[in-house]
Amino acid sequence: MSIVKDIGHTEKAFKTDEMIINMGPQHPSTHGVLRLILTLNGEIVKNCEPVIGYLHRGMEWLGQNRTYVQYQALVDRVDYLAGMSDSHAYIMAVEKIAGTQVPLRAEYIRVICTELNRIISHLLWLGIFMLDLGAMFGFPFYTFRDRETILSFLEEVSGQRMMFNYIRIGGVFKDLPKGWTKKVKKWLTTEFINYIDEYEAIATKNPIFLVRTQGIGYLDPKLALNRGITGPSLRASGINIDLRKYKPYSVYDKFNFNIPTSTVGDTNARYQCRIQELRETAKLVVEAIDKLPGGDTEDLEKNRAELTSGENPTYKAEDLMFIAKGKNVPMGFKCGPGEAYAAVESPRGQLGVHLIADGTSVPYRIKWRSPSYNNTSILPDLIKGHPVSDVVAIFSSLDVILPDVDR
Amino acid sequence: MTETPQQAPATAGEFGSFLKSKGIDSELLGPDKDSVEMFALDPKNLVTACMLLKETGFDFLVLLTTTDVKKGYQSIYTLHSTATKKSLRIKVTVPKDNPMIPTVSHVWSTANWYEREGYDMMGIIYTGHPDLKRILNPEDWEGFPLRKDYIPPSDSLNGPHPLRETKYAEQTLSKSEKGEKLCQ
Repeated sequence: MSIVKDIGHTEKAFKTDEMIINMGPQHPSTHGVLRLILTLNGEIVKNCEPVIGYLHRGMEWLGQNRTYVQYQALVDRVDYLAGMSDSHAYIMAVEKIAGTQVPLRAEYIRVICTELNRIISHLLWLGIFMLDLGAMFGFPFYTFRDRETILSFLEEVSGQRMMFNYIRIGGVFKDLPKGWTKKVKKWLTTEFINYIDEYEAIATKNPIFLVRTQGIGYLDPKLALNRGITGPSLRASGINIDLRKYKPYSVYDKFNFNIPTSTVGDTNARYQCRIQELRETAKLVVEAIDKLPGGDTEDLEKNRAELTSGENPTYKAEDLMFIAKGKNVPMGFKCGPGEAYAAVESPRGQLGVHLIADGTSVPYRIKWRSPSYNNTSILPDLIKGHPVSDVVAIFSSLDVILPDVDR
Repeated sequence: MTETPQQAPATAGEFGSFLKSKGIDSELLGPDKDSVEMFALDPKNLVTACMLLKETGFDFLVLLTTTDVKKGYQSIYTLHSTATKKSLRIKVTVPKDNPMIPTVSHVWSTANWYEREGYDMMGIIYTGHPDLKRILNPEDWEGFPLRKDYIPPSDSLNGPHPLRETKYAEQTLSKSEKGEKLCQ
């Protein structure tokens, strides 16, 4: 009896104040510099306030003080893991206002490169996600090995490893190098498919992985839509919105591919969606290479006459170009006046550019709709009631990249 | 934009006439390059109109853009309906000396962070916002960077801002000032 009394006494005497803890901005697993002000009750998160802006570079201000052509080189930095998507969105907005017709071959090249970029982004995410969950045995080395292969593919195409600046107004910078398409196709169909199996063998059915991810961080579909969540995080909650299928831009309506979805909505579902998307994207790249107008670059010159001549030519001559004729745009390229919103499906979700042009060579207003910005804003709702160790897992499963948040 | 002449009142579009039937006046600004309907609303009608539009299916606030136009500061709401796949753009302009717009963060919670960004960059005060403070710039930042009359601070290490020194920058800046006449 006296023991019970004692315990009761200590409980009353024990101070149970909430504790406020600063996580970040220099925490290694916050994918950049994000500061979270966590209110904790013991180990359980009671409240969370994200503080962003540590990586703010003033992308919108820079755009309004540079010409359209100068700004082209900067847009890759908005989300540096998916530079192709950034360029694609910006260039699409400019082309909408200028009314530029893009050659068919250029559109296909854009799709091939953007989808390869999606694989890069997902591979980096996969490695870091496993590291965040505590897989300290070097899982990222597997994904970074394959990421490096694709980076060298894109380096051959654009001359740059990450900041490609490849998609230009009216098409792309250069045609694909000779022998490139065959090499990429061979690597994707013979090697990369096996590598995905390798990742899944390590992670998908791993009991520790399942305990860390299943039922953690449930995202309600209605809340997700109200918060503007897009991308695989939204599709894992059962809402099948992928702009490539939902509102096809470029030439995405010409391909057969599936959009992986799930109705579970937890961290594991988001993982499943992304890893399935890796397979689908690899298939999509191979399909795009097969359907590329004019075929491989090394065969294009000798086939060009055959494909464009005759009574019913397969292609018009301008379809087989990599940049629209006469669109070697000068520095003082002018467009407008007009207003357009162009959006692409980046690896993280809907990435859009709202461009207001006034007819001069400088954009009047550029506004970025970066998917990570909205995806970060849901974090407080997801982590309430979870222990601190899950904060990193949930945040990582949203695939947020901080330069994209802060712009 | 100025593509529609202001003297001749254009006939209201699909959603403009829907709002008209509910007793809310709007001014049609014509379609944009994707033929998305755009109209201007009075700030005092904004919340009612947004509530009505949300009931009709506009469940997704894609983007909230703020711009500096000649008449004042403008807040542009790009809405999307996932049921009908239709988009819509609402423009609300407020005078520069008193930029106050009612918040819509209780209608779409996406607006919460976007309105904070609008305040941070353009200095528009969204009345009724739960937590209106700077989001991307530091808390003690002076001025609102995306206003057209904003002057960047000098860099303590490198002297005045390099853009203001080069002749080229002066040209581009004066060009964009000229362009202001076109945008309103």
